[in-house]
Amino acid sequence: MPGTKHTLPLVFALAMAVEANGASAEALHMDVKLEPGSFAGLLDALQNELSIEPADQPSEAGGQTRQVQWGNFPNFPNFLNCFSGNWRNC
Amino acid sequence: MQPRLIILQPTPYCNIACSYCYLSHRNDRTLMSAPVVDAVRDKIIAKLPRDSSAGIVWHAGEPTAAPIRWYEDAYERLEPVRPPASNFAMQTNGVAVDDRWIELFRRTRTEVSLSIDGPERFHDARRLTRNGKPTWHLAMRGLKRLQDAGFRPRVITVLHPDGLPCADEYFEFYRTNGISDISFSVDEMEGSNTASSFQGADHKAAITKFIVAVLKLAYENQYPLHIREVERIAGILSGAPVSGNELVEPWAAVVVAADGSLSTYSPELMEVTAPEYRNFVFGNILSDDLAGIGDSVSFTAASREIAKGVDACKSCRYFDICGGGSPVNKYCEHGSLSAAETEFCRLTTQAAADALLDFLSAHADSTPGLLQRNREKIPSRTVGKGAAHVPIETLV
Repeated sequence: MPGTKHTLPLVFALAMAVEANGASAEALHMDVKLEPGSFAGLLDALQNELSIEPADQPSEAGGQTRQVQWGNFPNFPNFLNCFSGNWRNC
Repeated sequence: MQPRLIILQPTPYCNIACSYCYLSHRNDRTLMSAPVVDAVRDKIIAKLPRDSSAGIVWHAGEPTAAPIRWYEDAYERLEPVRPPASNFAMQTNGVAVDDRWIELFRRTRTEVSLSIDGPERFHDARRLTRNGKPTWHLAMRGLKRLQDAGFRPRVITVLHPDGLPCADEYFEFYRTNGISDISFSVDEMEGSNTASSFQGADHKAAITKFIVAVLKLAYENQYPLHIREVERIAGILSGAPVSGNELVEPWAAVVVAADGSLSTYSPELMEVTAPEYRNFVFGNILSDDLAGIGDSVSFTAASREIAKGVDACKSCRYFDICGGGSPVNKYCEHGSLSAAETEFCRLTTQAAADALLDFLSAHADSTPGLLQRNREKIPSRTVGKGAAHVPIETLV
């Protein structure tokens, strides 16, 4: 669908990675020149938990629908199954 | 020369009159002619590599001010030569979006991005009709129609200093209205907008704080809000390929106005009075080829100065996530394309980068963090592989 985003925000994944790694504020190198790839190692520890697993299940209309769940974000709505209306009603 | 962004302006006309608009021709009802569309097809789109994923964007004035039948004709001309991975997009104020427009977007797989400046009181303070009436309800009606049709439009929000202490209001606005893909900007001093609301004081820290607050609310509420600038920087720092700054790379972005005027670097440049660069109109698609324009005096001079400006940016802490800034802001703020830092840099790219780092730093000391709290909540029965996944029946 045009304009649809189905991904976990990367900034959330990085925040969880920082929590998991117990990284200190100093480790984020706040005061040096920002370099591409400098956070690459942060995500390694969470690789499995950040994977997105799709699952097929019957839709209300009777067909199959593909659903997605974000690891460690159980409250996230299922956007693939929520094409209209208010997020809270999904 | 491989354009990654092709910005087409079907008409300079706009159906509303935002107080911060930089468009000096927004009363001009000129409509891009069929020969101009054909020239865009033959000289730009047909010459894209077959694996090009270029974006073809209908842009300012207000693109829905052009009739739907005009687009039907334009798509018919352009679609046959478009590389399969390229895509059409439209940046609109949403005021005129109705079922007929949605049908066009659906049929042509056009991505839609809406300009909505957040909650009603902030939006309606500056985005008004030509008669001075508020437009928030009209824009929200367009958003709702698009959402009901299955679209998830990105929303671009232009910030004002008055809104910066109200991050919670903005977050609630996005969440309540199912908006999960947003972009923040500031009103810029360029074109006919001769003064920015951010002039006169340093607002960088306040914008940073605002973005951090929005991120925190989204994270704690587990609402998947994508802030385009933050996500882009997070991607670069995480090792994603850097696509480069098309604002400083000749012809990475191509701009074609309704009358066929051609420019590059950024669409706003054509709104700037700069005789030394022919007002940044480097040619006309009806009479010129992009390759031939490369030899023109005005283009060569502008390119040389822009390259100097990129060099001047190289010592900046943010250079690797920015790539050399925005020439139009350099010119409008400093009168020179070879300048380095601008207020626009500080209030957009730099503020977004600082917000990302501040947000992540806060998580370094959060005990237990959301990750830990959710790990404790998640039941053991799972779907898929990996112990962190929850039963699908708990999701619906």
